[in-house]
Amino acid sequence: MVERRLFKNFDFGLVLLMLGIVVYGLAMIYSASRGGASGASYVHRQLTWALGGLVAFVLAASIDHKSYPRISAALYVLNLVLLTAVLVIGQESKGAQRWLGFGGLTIQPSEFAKLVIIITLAVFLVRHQDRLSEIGTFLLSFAHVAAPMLLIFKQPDLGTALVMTAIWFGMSFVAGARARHLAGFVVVLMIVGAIGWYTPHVLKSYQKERLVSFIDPTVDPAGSGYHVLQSRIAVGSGRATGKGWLHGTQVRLGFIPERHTDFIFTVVAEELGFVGAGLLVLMYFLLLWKGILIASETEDAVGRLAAAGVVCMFFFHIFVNIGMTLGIMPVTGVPLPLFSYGGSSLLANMMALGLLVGIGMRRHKINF
Amino acid sequence: MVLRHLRFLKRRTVWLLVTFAVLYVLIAGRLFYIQVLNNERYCELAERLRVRQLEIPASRGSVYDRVGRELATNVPAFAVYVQPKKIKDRERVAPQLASLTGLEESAVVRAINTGGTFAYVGRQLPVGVSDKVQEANLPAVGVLRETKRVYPSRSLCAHVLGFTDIDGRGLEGIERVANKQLAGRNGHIVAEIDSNGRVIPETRRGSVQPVDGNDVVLTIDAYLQHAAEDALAKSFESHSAAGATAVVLDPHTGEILALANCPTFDPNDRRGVQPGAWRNRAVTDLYEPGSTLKLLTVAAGLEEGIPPTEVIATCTNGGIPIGRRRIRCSLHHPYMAGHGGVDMFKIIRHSCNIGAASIALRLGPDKLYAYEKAFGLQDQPGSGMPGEAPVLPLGSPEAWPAIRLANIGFGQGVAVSALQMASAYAVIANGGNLMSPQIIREVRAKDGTVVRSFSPKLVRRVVSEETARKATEMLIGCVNEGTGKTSKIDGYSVAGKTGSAQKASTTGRGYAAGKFVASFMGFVPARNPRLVICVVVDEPKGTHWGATVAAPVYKEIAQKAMWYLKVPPDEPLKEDQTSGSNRMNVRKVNHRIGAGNTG
Repeated sequence: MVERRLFKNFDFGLVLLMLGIVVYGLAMIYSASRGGASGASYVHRQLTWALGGLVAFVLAASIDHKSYPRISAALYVLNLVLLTAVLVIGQESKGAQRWLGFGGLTIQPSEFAKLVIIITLAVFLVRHQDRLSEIGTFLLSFAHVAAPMLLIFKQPDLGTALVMTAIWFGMSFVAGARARHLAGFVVVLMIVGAIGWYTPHVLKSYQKERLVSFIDPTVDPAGSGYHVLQSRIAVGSGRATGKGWLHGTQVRLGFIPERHTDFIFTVVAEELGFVGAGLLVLMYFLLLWKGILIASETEDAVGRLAAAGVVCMFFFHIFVNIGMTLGIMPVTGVPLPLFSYGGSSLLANMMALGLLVGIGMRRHKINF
Repeated sequence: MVLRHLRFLKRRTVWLLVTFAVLYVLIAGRLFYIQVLNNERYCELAERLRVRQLEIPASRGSVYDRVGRELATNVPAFAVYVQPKKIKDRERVAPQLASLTGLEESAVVRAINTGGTFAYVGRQLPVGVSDKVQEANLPAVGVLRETKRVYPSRSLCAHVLGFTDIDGRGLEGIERVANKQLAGRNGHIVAEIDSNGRVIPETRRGSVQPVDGNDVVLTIDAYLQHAAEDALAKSFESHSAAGATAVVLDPHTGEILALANCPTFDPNDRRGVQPGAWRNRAVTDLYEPGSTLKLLTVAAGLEEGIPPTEVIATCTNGGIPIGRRRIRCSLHHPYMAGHGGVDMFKIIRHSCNIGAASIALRLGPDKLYAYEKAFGLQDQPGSGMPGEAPVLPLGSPEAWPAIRLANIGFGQGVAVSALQMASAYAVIANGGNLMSPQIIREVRAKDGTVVRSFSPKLVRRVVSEETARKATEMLIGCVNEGTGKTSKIDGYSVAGKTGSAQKASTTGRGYAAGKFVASFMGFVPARNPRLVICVVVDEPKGTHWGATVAAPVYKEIAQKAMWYLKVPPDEPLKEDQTSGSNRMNVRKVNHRIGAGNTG
């Protein structure tokens, strides 16, 4: 299925980075879940998903992006069906309905929705590339994303909804949307945000609290500002070399919430210090760098946009997640890709990198 | 076309890269700033969050009577608290916690609704309750050790002991004045806590052991205290009095052996107690002593050389005029026509106002004032108990009109506390010395070593031994043949004097109709005094005579005390007393005050 010649352009470096981050993540998940038997069970589950992720990676890499236009419509519909199913028959946990159960497995369709959107939006943007500078087409491209996004927002999952907005923003920018349309969009987004803030029942109260405490964590240091402050303290007290793996006091003593998922970067920073956290940041940088290279070198427009979409998604996740632990972004519950504990997210992200590598392999239209 | 588009895409991709790079630098820079440049601050915050100094409360000292009977002590107790912020479903927790602790559900709900990080649900709960709460292991519910102050003999000696607040700080009585000694010094441990505030045992890094409070030993004798309270309560109740007080002193040392007040209270449970019942009337309340003060006037006369057998005045039922006023005696059979010619013996024996007034007039204001002062009536007693009433000054004696001088002579127009009067009577009892009254005998560390002991304090010599001896004879006469007959004890010589003073009207002018203070005070055995006893009953109903209201109290206390102290009788017994039953009484009372140690 995969022709041998494609391996000439197979990005082994990217795969190594991916595996490195995943393994690094496993080590930190073990520590964050307090080591021992409970740590091992988290690691075990994450490892299982990672192996699944490898399969997904290979499958995704084997898809030729030139087939995207053919499968785009079906994917889009399937995506909407799954997201609607989540709202109707999904499983609830911690006040949000985000999961679908399949036998013993629970998956989070919103994680895959991001991939679907990257593919279908790339196809959409290329199809409309001539009229993309027109406001109507520009808005239509947003509507393309808005439908699944609203379904995700309803779960509620503000973080993922924002990630999708970011993907759309980045991809439509690369595709050639006018700068002033994009700027106008940002203004409208702020207005909608303000209306949403003051209209009851649009944003949940915890979502508002998080934003308020992001702006000023001292408003309620024992309450919603608590986690922001605690995380920053943990990061700061990690200093250059950290307190040692399994020895982060803030983590061990339970001051850090969601420490194996959303706040796992805090664990890295506290236990391994700037050296360990900086290494992770560097690994992500190299990963993104390679992604951008693929995006800029791919000769096919759909492939290029899809690659840009994957890079946007990763970047937004990384920036918002790490920014949150450092107190420069609000708490939105966005996991750190490949690193945070969470099966669907790991699987979807590895699949996304599979798409990226697949595009990279086929970057030249003529390989002879 | 396609190629141009691709070049455009490439340009945009580069822009995307630039944007990402800028934001990326922001993240990396921030990380560097927090972890490398500014980490001191966060390290300190982390340390402060994690490391706590936890108080180890010191055990409050106990209070004992003079022979080691426990009057106030501590028992372990527990407080139950919640962390309201962490309670998720209060609808479930509140009723569960209420049924475990036996507290009102509304109280539990109130604690949860405070919404903070900590709120007490209940305090001073018994061990059983804390066990149940701990077993239930409810989330965000915890138990703290504390101690509860208990007074094993309930209301016994309540006014002297006082009480503490729920945190063991003394608010009244000895608990208040000796708080520093009793409280001790709290210790602490430094240890790390987790985010739920629980100490992590292996992280303890140093501790300061608490220094337990010292024990306070009072001069009180619980047996005598009980006898005094018992006798006083009977009179207080049967005469529906407004208040009553009894003070028992060791005349030679000034030590307060018993101090009783009515109404009283149980310091273990002060709910619903009228604040008036907390008042230690013996020191906080001033009253006009009336006839009991005549003893001091007579003693002053003796000391100034007036012969005891000289007839000082002639008392008739018409009284004598002083200025435009007239003073009278209250006359009883067989002296309905007046006491006739009175000497000092007769003045004391029959409580002759005219005679006492005449001595006062003979002495003159300066001398009388000097003696009132010398007997301690113009100074706060300094007993060491809180709330001693400020002195009501008699004013400068030069300005006293004759009628005032005469009134003071028989105890009207002068305000004293029962403790002051008891101390003044002790002067006569001990041969002329004013001793400072004393309530704390010693302060002991928990291991029994004496930290501080208080020795008797002589204030001044007031009268000569000779004067005291003669005055004593006069008081014996009062008990044997005069108004004080009701206080006679078989087998012992008794010195005593009645008082039935009118109460000053609350309007500040004149006297309140029908309101009296009945009193009786003196010492036993008269010729070798062991105890001064002073009994004051405020506003008795029905009868107001010191002889009928206060003297029986005096007698009961004195009699029990003589048996208890095993004082050999100094007078022949008239009837054959069954001493065996008396001893049994002693044992019975001892049992009630819950003490075996009578060393």
